[in-house]
Order: sequence, then C-alpha cells, then structure tokens
Amino acid sequence: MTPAPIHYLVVSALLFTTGVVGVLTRRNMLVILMAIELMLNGANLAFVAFSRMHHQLDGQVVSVFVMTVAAAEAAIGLAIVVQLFRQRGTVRVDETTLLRG
Amino acid sequence: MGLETLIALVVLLPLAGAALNGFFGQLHGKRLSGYLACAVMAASFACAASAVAGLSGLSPASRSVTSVLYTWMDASSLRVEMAFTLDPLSGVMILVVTGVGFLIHVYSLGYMAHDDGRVRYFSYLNLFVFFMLVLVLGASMPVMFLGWEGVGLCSYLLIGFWFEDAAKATAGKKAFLTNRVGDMFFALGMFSLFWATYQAGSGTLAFAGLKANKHLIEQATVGAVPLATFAALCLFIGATGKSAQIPLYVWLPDAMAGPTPVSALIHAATMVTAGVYMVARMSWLYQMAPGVMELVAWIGALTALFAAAIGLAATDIKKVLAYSTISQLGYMFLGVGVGGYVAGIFHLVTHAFFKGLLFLGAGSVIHGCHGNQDIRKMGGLKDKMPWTFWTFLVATWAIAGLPPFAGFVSKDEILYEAYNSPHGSLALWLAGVVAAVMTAFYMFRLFTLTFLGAPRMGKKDFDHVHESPAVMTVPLAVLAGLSAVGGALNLPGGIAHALHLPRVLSDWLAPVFPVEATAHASNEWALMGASVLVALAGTLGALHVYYRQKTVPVADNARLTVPVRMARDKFYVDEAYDILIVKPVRGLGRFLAGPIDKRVIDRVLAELPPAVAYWLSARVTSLQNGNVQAYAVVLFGGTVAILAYLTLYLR
Amino acid sequence: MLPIVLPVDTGDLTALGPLLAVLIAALGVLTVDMTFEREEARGRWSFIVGLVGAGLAAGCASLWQWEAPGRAILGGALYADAFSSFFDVLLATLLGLTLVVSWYCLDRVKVKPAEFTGLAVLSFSGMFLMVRAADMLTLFLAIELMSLPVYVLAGLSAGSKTGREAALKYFVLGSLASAILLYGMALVYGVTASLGYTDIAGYLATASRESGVENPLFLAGLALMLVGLGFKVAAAPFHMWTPDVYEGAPTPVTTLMASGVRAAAAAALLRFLAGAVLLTRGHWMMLVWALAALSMIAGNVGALAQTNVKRLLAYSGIAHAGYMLLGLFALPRGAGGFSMYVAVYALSVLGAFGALQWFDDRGRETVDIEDLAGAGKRHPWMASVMTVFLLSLAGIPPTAGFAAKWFVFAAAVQAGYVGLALLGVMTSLFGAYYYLRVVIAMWMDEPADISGADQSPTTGLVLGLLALAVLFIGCFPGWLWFLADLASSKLV
Repeated sequence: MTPAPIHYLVVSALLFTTGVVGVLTRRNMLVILMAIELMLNGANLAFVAFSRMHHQLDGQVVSVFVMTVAAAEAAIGLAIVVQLFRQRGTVRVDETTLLRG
Repeated sequence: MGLETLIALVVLLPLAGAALNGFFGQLHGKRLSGYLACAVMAASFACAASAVAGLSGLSPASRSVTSVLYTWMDASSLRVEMAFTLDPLSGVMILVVTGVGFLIHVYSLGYMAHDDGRVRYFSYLNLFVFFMLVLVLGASMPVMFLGWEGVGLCSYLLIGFWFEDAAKATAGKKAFLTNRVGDMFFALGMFSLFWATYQAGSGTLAFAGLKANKHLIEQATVGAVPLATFAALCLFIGATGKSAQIPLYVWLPDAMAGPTPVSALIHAATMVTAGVYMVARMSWLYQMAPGVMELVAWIGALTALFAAAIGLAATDIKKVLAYSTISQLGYMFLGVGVGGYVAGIFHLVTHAFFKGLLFLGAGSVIHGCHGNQDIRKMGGLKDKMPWTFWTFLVATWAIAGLPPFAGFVSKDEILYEAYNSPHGSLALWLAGVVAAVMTAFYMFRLFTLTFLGAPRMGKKDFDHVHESPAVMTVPLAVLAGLSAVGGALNLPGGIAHALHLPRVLSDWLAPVFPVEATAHASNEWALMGASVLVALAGTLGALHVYYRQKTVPVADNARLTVPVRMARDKFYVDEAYDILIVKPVRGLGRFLAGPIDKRVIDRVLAELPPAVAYWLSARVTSLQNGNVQAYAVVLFGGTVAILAYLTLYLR
Repeated sequence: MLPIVLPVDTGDLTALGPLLAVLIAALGVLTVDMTFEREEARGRWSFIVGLVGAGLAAGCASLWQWEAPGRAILGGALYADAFSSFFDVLLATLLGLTLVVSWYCLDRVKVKPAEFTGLAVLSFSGMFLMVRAADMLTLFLAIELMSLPVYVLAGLSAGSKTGREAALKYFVLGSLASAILLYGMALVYGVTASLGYTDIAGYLATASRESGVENPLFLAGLALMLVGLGFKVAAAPFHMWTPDVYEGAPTPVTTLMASGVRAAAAAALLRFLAGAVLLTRGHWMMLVWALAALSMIAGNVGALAQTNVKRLLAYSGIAHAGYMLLGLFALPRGAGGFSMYVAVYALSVLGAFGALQWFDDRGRETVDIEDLAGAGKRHPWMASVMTVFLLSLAGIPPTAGFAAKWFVFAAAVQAGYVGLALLGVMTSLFGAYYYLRVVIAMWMDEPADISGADQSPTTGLVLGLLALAVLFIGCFPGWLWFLADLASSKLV
C-alpha cells in the first residue's frame, strides 16, 4: 500500500509527541536536546508531507531551512550543556535549580 | 490678565518653584531656596485672590471658568484635557491651600533653618502644593486623580524626610496599603461613572459633563445596585483613605514622624481635606444615593467620636493633634453626609486655620523644647514662649468650639445641620455633641499640660526653652487672627438675620450646591446654646482635672483601672462629674488607643491584608521550583488547555 | 548569457534599509572581533560599530513615508509598512540605549564587551526581521535569529552559576516553544497550502463563507503558533521561564531581553494575529482574554513577595504582557494602543534595568532591594531617574506608563470588554505596591553600600534624558499615540 500523506502526518505527530514527552520527563540534558531535535524533525516531516500533498515545494524549502536552524540550535545547546557540566559536574536537569521562587 | 491665565498661573507657579529648587537648588544655595519657595507661594496666592475676585465679578450663574492647558489624552471617545476649573468651591479651596500654604512656607524658613536638606524640603513642599492645586482645580476626574496620586507620593517623600527606620517603616507600610486600597476604589468609582455615560454614547469624565449627564447615571445600574450608589460608595471609600476616616485612618498618626510644618500643611490644611472636597464636588451624585450619604454621615460621626476618645489618652503632642485631625475630619464628613455641604466646607476652612496653627504651635514648642514631644514632660511654658502660648490658646479656644471664635461657628453649623437636615437625625447630633465635649476636653488637656502649671522637665532643660523667632511666630499670629474672626465668614443664620449681615460663604457657594440649605429652624438658638454648653463643660472639666488637680497622665505601663483610681483619689466625692464622665471616658480613650486601635484595627487593617497578599504571592511563586521540566510541563499544559478549549468549542 | 533578474528594486532597498544596516553592523562587529588584538580596542570598536548600525537603522526607518501603503518585498516574505518603521525606530533606539547603558556594567559581570555587542546586534537583526516578517518561514527564521544569540548571551558571564543555569533554562524552554511553533506552522501550512500571512487570511475568509466552521487542524495549528509566540512575550501560562532567566542572566542581557525581545515578539504577534488570523473571531478573543487575565494576575501576585529587583521586574513584565494583550481588543483602534504600550513599556523597562546597572554594589551587580536602599541619599539624581521608570511601569501619572495604560484600557472598554479592563485597572493599582516598595526603599531606608562612583556621566546623562522622555510622553502622549495608531491601524 502506498503511504498516503495521512500516514506521514501520524508519524510526524508521533515523533513530535515523543519529543515532547522526552523534554518533559527525561532528566539527562543531552537526552532533552535529542528530544528537541525529534520535535523539530517531526515538524519537518509534517512540512514535507503537506508539501507533497499540495504538490508544492514550499514545505520542502521550509524543511531545509529548519534543518539548518536545528543544527545551529543543537550546537548552541550543546555548548550550554558543556559549560554547565564544567561548572557543576552534572548533566541532570533537576540539579540545576538555583534559580527559584 | 485673563481669568484663564490666572488660573493656570496659580497651578503652575508652585510647579516652577519645585522645579527650580529641585534642579538648581544646589546652585542658588539653601537660603535662597527657602525664599524662592515662599515667593512662589505668595505669587500663587496673589493670583488665586485675583482670580477669585475676578470670579466674583461674574454673575452667580456663570461663575465657572475653565482654563484648558492642552489635550492630555485623546482615545477617541474618551478625551481628557489638562484643564482647570475655577468655580466658587474650588475658589475657596485654592485660597486656603495657597494662603495657609504660604504661611507654612514662611514658618518653615525658621523651623528648618538648621536642616541641611532644606533645598529638597522646599522643593517637595512646592511640588506638594502643585499637586494639591491640580486636585482641587481639576476639571475632570482623571486630572483630579493625577492630583490625588501626586499628593500621596509627595506626602511619602515629606513624611520620610528624616529617615528614622522603625517609625517610618511601619508608617510607610500603613500609608501604602490604605492609600492603595483607597485609590483602587476611587478608580473603580471613576470607571463606573464613565461606563454609565459611555453606554449612552456620551462618555465623559469631566465634572461638568458628568453633572450634565446625571440623568444617565441615575438610571444606570450595576447588577442589582443602582450605579449612583455604587459609584458614590466607591468614591467615598477612596475618600476615607485620603481623609483618614474609619476604616482607613491608621496611617495618619504614624505620619507624624515627619517635620511638623509638613504635618501642618498635609495633615491639617490640605491633603486630608481632599476627600471632603471630593464628596462636596460630587454632591449631586451623593444626592442620588441617600443611603451612601447616611453612611458618610455615620462614618464621620463615629470617626469623630472614636478619634476624640483616643485623643483623650495620648501623650505625644503631635499624636494628640493627629487624632484631633481625624476627629475633625469626621465632623466635616458628618456635615456633608447630612447634606450640609456649606457647613462641611466651612469647617474645612476654619479647621485649616486653627489646626494649622495648632501644628505650627506644636512645632514651635518642640523647637523650643529641643525635640521633646511628650506633654508629660512639659508644663509651665507660658512665660517662656508667650507668642506661642497666646496663639495656641486662641487655636484651642477655637477648636474647642467656644464662641465667638471660628471653630464654634463652623462646628455649630454642622451640628445644626445634623439635627435639622432631612438626612440628619438626633442620634447623629448626639454623637457630634459627645465628640464636641471630648474635643474641648482633650484640647484643653493638651493646652494645660503643655503651657500651664509648674514645669515638669529638668531645670537645665527648662532654662534652655526659648521662644521661636519672628519668622515662626508671625505666621502663628496671622493664623490666630484668622481663627478668631474666621467665624464671620458664615455667621449662624439667626445672628446674620438679626444683624442684617450676609452669610458670606453660603451665598458664595450657593451656585455649586443647588440643594436648599436647611431652612432656619426655631431650634437654632437652642442648639447653639447646647453647643456652647458642651464646649464649656469639656473645657472646664479639663481645666479642673489638669490645672486645679494638677493631674499628670501616668506612664504607659501603669495599668490603672477606673475603680482603683477612684478609690485612691479623694477628690472624687464632690465632683460627680468626674466620676460619671471624665474618668470613664479617659479610660475608654486609653482602651480604644490600646487594645482596639493597636491590636484590632492595626492588625486587621494594616497587617492582615499584606499578610494575605504575601501568602498568595508565596503560593504563586512556589510553582517556580527551579526545575526547568516543571516549567515545561506548565507550558505544555497550557498548550493542551488551549487545544482542548478549541476542540470542545467546536463541538 | 542569462540576464539575472533580482526581485528587488530601489524602493525595496529603502524599505529594507534598517534591516540591512543592522545586519551589516552585525557582520561589522564580527569583523572587528577578528581584526583587533587587544581586548579594549575590540570592545570599543565593536561598540562604535553597533551604535552606528543602530543610528543608521533609525535614520533609514524615519525616511519611510509613513502615509504610504506597505509593500511586499522578496516575493511576500517581508512586508514593509508604517508599522515596521515604527518598530524599527523603537528597536534602533533600544539597541542604542542597551549598548550605552550596559557599557560599564559589562566588566562588572565579566562579559567581554565585544562578544556582548556582537551577539546583541545579531539578535537585534533578528528582531528587525521579525517586525517585517510576512510569512511563516521568515517569522520562524527571525525568531531563531533573535533567540539563539540571547541563549548564548544569558550564559556569557564568566564563572556565573546562575548565568549558565539561566541560559540552559531559556534554551530548553525556548527550543520547546519554537518547536511547538514550528509544528503549528506545519499544520497551518497543511491546511491553507500557503506560508504567507495574506494567503492565510484569504483562506480564512473563504473558508468561513463555504463551510462556516474552520478546519480543526487549522485551529490546532494556530493555537500552537500562539503558544510559541506567547512564550516569547512572556504571557501566562507560558511565562515560567521569565523570572529565572531574567534573574540569572547578567543585567545587560536582561535589559536586552526585557526591552528588545519583548518589543519584537509583541510586534510579530500583532502582525501575525492581525494579518493572518483576523482577530475579530469570537473564540480567538476568548483565548486572548484568558491569556491577558491570567498574565495580569500571575504577574502582579507573583511580584509581591519578591526581594530581588530583577525578579520583581520579570514578574511585572508578565503582568505587562497581559496589559499589552488588552490592546488587541477593539481593533483597529486597539492596535494603536498595543503598539504604544509596547513602546512605552520597552523604554521604561530598559530605563529601569539600565538604572539598576548604574548602581554598583561594592563592585558587584545590584540585584536586591536592599542593595538599592538609601540610594536617594547617596545618588539623588539616579534615584530620581529610577523612580520615574518605576512609576512609569506602575502606571502612575504623569508618566508615560499611565498614558499607555489609559489608552489600552480605554480601547478595551470601547470594545465592550469592561470586565477585563476593570481587572486591568485593579491589578495595576494593586501592583503599584511592589514598585513603590522599591521607591520607598531607595528614598527612606538607611543607605546600603552603593558606590556608583565608577559610572561615567554619560550613562547617567542618557538615562536622565530617557527619564525626561518618559515624563514628557506622560504629559503629552498625543504624538506617540498618533504615530502608533497610524502605524498599526492599517494592519487590519
């Protein structure tokens, strides 16, 4: 059976949701970064699927841009994580709770 | 010079003074800053006087001149102009504010002569007068609100002028809270009035506009409550905050921490009268809400009683005057509450004279006694400070309500209205009378303990006591003169009629208050007699207790109950008056000042709401536990909520 | 030989002027960084380039014909009109001011001026892009261009624990919000088959005529986009990052976040909502209503118990996001109120943070209310300036904040949303308490150990002028209202 756009959409939704769950529940910062990437790629997939559905290129163009941005974001995110690790010696997100109230 | 220009000058001159002293004060030096401030006030008063004179040249029906500076904000249907309206009512107010203000400025030249911060002081003082003038001359509610907030801000600055931690911290907190609550209600009332007119398409907040549209307000409702009642009530609650009535009066006694001329200006003559002025200005609104009027009168009466009772037991000269102010403000509200608007304003004017004088005199005493404010440690100052003594006597005479000075005339007028007005009642009159007795009593108590009898301070201190310089005593004299003859402004109906003299203030204010003044009733003389009697009673009682018997208030920690004192003191037997009235009332005063005022009211009003607010805040901020995933959960939760809402809505 | 046809003409270039100026300035700063060897030279020159860029941007923006209709540039990716010019001028001013007031504080917080300037100008170029974005791709790119440098800036303070934590939190939550935004954009694209705002608006217009009910997928997409944009504006319930990040980041960075990021995000939000969504739809108003009310309450209540000034200003910013949203009602008039409020708020908060930077607590950053105690006695000028900004934030006349609130509340009332306006009035009067607490602490408490002696008069002068401007706007708000109205009313 040929995958119809709706299948892609379901997959993208699943990816996105998995990403969200990852951000909300995993305590390792690197895993959170990965989860964010998952979310972004879920959205990408949705863009591409819709683009195909409408027989346009717009969505795919967006997708390329997003990939670039995601890469930049990941780089910055990793830099921040590394910085934090150097200072605190941990990558667990529930141990960075100095700022509160 | 045109009337409009004069009006604008009255307001802008103090602003200019404040700016000049504020920005360039360091350049022209401390001495000049004081003179500049006084000169500005004199000029403002001169403009005010000319403006009022010009106003009187117009026919009574057209005595309302508006000076528009510019359009402040224009949000299509709601235009607010920076405009000032001079009419008989605001005319009276500006004369009082600039006139008494000028005298206080002159006095300050002497009082603050050794203070390093006097440039700042004079700048703030001028700024305060500016905001007060904006308040009373404002042609619309937002401009009045500008003045309302402005005087509040300036009063914080002036009260805290000498930073003394503990006293100022609590004073600050209380002043905040009560003013905030009051202002919120003021804004609410303002809002509702706008809403009522806006609904019908003629949204306005100008006083003239609101009055012209009062039929709209009359018909509008807020839920089940008539809008007039709602608005009047909200505005009144705002007034209780500014004018220190129950339940929002708690800030005033603590505000005595500032320099005494500040207390004279702000807490006697100007800011605290803003509430009374506002009720008078909106008299047509209050006429539509008789229930609220009754509330106003009752709160005024109860405050007058309550504060007077506390004044009976106070031992700090300024605190006594503070409670006295609260009490007299209560009289003013009693007056306007029963529809005696002229009476209320009249008392406002005379109160500015004698209370201003009392505060300035107290300042002179404190100045002469090198900072001592405890009346238990005074006494015998009569010969050492003659000017202060005599002027203080005049003021005390006036506030006690003894004829023929101004206080008697205005207070009597209020009591007359309380008894005879359709809104008044016997109960209100009685409350006023009892408060009058107490007023006479505690004022003469203050006077006696301070000036008469043998000195109670150490000999060395007593030798250093000196009279204040002329720059301080001349204003005292002027105010004393005004307190003495001020009654002529509005002679009681019967006397005016008999002598064929006009009732100046009543006639002048007639265009503003279309309400028919209570017609001359036959009981006028009887009531007048009653007023005189109670004033005499209080005065003599005080003189007896404190002069003849040489009683001195005991130290705070000595808790003496009434029976014990009765037993101990042998003179009681032949003065039934003492037993029946004086002692119990003083004990009541002590009780009210102690447990009730400090524990109940302070706790409930000044400490509970902040505690609740802080608790709420702590609850809200406890959500911020620092865990970024918790935040993410909230963010996502919000997202889900929005999605759910949209999906459900579609069903 | 194929002639190369660029879809750009001279008119477009003028319209793009401000954006180009800032972009070039950003590249200029990077170049400066590479050129100079010595730290101070780098810092000084990058600073100058940044200021020049800001000046040029402002200049270009003011050349725009305000009455002229807008024009689409680059095939509809950008839209230049009076609205973008208004915000260009605002953003340029904010950039210039941020650089000037932060200059002396950067050493104290151990941030290298060259790095700060470079990242700040880059972020601002993203902001300039945001205010003229006319399709979703550009919007996304602009948001990322704006945000990524700020994530870095937050953690730039050497050795600061709170800084790095703030950077992490901002990054995680920001990326989460961006991803949600992106997914929303995907859904919208999927339904409307277009990325541009006008096309989306066109879809909505036809859709309602045909089916009468909007596509649920579309609504979901718009909702997600609202979440993403609301995050940047710090509206509740997307506000949890604000207190922590504002507190943890070094104060110069917080200044940038509170003024620039907020202003750009608000502008983008308005452009999107007005241009694409046609805010007059009933259920959208309910949503905005709920967001506004929640923000006002959460912000004001949360601020009460704060003792840290930066945190206090953060919570207050959340409340201000609520007041801003009020202006979204009663379009098109309300849009003017919205823009004016954003401008006034951005200037006031920049002044407040700027003044905070001026005060120096024994060589460290001033952060707590106690640190400011008695400032009135030691530094009366700066304390007065700070007071003006705090009063403006509190909405007390005669400052600009009062006028802005007035217009916004009036707009809400005129649209019939009386309850919300009332809530706004009540909460802002109530909230004035925490601002006044700081004012009182400055003027009436015993002086803490504040020096402020290292500051050059320039910073003080600039802040003083800003304070005067705030007072001026408060007394004569008409011209700003006129400009904001002119700029925004054409959006719808």
